Amino acid sequence: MIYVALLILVLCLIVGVPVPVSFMASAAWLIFFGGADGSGYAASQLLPYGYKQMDSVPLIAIALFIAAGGIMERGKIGEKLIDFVDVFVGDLKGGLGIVATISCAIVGSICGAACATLSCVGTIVFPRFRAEGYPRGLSAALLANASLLGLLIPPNATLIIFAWITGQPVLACFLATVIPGLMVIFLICVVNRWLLRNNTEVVVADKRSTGEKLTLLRSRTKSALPALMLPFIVLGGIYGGLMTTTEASAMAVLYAIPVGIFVYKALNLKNTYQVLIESAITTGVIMVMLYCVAMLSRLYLLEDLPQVLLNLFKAISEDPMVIMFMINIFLVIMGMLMDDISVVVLASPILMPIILELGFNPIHFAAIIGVNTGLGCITPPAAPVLYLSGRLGAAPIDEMMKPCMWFILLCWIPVLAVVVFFPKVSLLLPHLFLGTPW
Amino acid sequence: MSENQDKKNSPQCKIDCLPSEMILASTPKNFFDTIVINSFSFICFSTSIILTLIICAAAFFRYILNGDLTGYEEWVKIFAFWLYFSGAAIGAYNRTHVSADLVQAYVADGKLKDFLVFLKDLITVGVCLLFAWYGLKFFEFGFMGPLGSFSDPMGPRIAVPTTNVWRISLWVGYLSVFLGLIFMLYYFARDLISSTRLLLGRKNK
Repeated sequence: MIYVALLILVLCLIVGVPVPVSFMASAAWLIFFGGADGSGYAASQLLPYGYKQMDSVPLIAIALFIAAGGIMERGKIGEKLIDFVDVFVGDLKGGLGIVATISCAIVGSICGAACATLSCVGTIVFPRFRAEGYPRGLSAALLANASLLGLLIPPNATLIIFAWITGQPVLACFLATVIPGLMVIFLICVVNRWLLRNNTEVVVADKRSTGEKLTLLRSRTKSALPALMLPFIVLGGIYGGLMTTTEASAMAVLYAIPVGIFVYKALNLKNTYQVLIESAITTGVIMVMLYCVAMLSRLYLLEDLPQVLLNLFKAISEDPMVIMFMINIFLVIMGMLMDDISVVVLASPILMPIILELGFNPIHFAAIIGVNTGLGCITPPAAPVLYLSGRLGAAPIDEMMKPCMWFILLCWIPVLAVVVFFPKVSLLLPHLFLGTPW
Repeated sequence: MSENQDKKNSPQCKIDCLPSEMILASTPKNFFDTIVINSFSFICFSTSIILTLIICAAAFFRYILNGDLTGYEEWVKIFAFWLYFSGAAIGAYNRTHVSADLVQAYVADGKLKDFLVFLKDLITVGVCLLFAWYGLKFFEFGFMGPLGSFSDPMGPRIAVPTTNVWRISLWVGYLSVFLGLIFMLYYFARDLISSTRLLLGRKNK
């Protein structure tokens, strides 16, 4: 019966049934025909179970981080951060690409969702890319890749969901993706410069002297200071042990609204109302998906799906590293078909028992799933971030594919390989700060 | 190639967090939708603000005043559920629920595509109908208690589930789930009618 349930899920997703409803459809099959004797499961316990799972304060952080991201975008807070980063590398060839990448990392660390990061940074940076003569395919591919840094630089929604589903400490999951995130930042910047090596059309700003840089730094720091305080409050609050993730997200909203209204004067009551509703819609869409996956994963566990999958993997090889390799292939394929959050909500409950049985560290798996979902978001056919970037940057998909493939080959795959085969890379920070065992 | 043509040629994919100009709630066209969407929008806005304020107040009490907002989590969770399911209902109205949408992107316009869209909508409505029914049962359980005591409106309510500290009846939260599912069903049914008309060759727009 479990195979039919999986088939229903895959078919529904392919036909385009909304992801939460696809989860419901698969669950409905098991409600009627699941169980050892095919008599199904009690439906009356399903919604209460989902409710109980969702009845969690840490999950509220997702809603509030999304709201904070929306306010940052509308309140011109992101713009000030980008101008600030521009002081340091804006006068290099390909400097704007580096500015965009680092800005995505900073903005992504606050709003925690790839598409929110992309829309926040992209709306500001794409006109600048055009003005500086960047190839539009490259600029759109670069932004698509860089916006995924929000999935790796904490805090972010994907890892909160992962921690919630698998019962792992959120902070440890956050720390596990920091080093892979920094590696991706570095590699994106390098590949960007490499792709521009023969390009003569890109305008390079005049080299700034140290004095000019200091003057610019002074003026931009002054205007960016209220914006810079936001990551300081969020990251400092969480890692300083002053606030929980949920409290930090609420503080981010409470801080960003007056900054947007009174300091940058880009927000008023009307668009604050609008941005909070838009964030609520995004939140609602994600949370219904989580509710449905909570119900579905319970049924999948009752059907012993992890063991079924493990047996399938073991039929090919008994070696844990080979199985881990297959799990990665499985995650990449899922990422090619679904968005990041859907992959995490579906894969985590199924794969975590397998990971534990194989003897891998669950925090290591958090880093693996983080990098994998990033990779999946820019790998067609379902590459939502890539398509959105193309739309924002007015770049046709065929122009984006070549540079995007270079970013995948030279940034994401090497980082994924390092994360998978060298667990200490992702476990170093959780071990140092939280005492997570190797 | 013009910008518009480029945009048209790019595959589309619904995603978790669209930029504001794409996700913005479109203006409802009829009176019923206006009432429903405005009500849910108001709930979304007020719960977002309330959640922010309560959580910040709790942090302030804990770290600055060394005090405690007893049982604040009970209120926060109920507001959160109303936020989630109101947002989900508006998401169904706006058609922003996450889907892979490979059909939209890769199947050429024509009868096959119309049929697949119709099939998608039919499955969506059927499954949603089933879960809306479960949602009703869930709400009834919270409202009447396991013994169904509220079937006698004048009688005492026995064993109605409540929270531990503030004794808030749990049906307040369950109602959000039920209403969210009902209005998601309603807007998915609207899409089904539209795709049926398209399949049968009648112009809908």
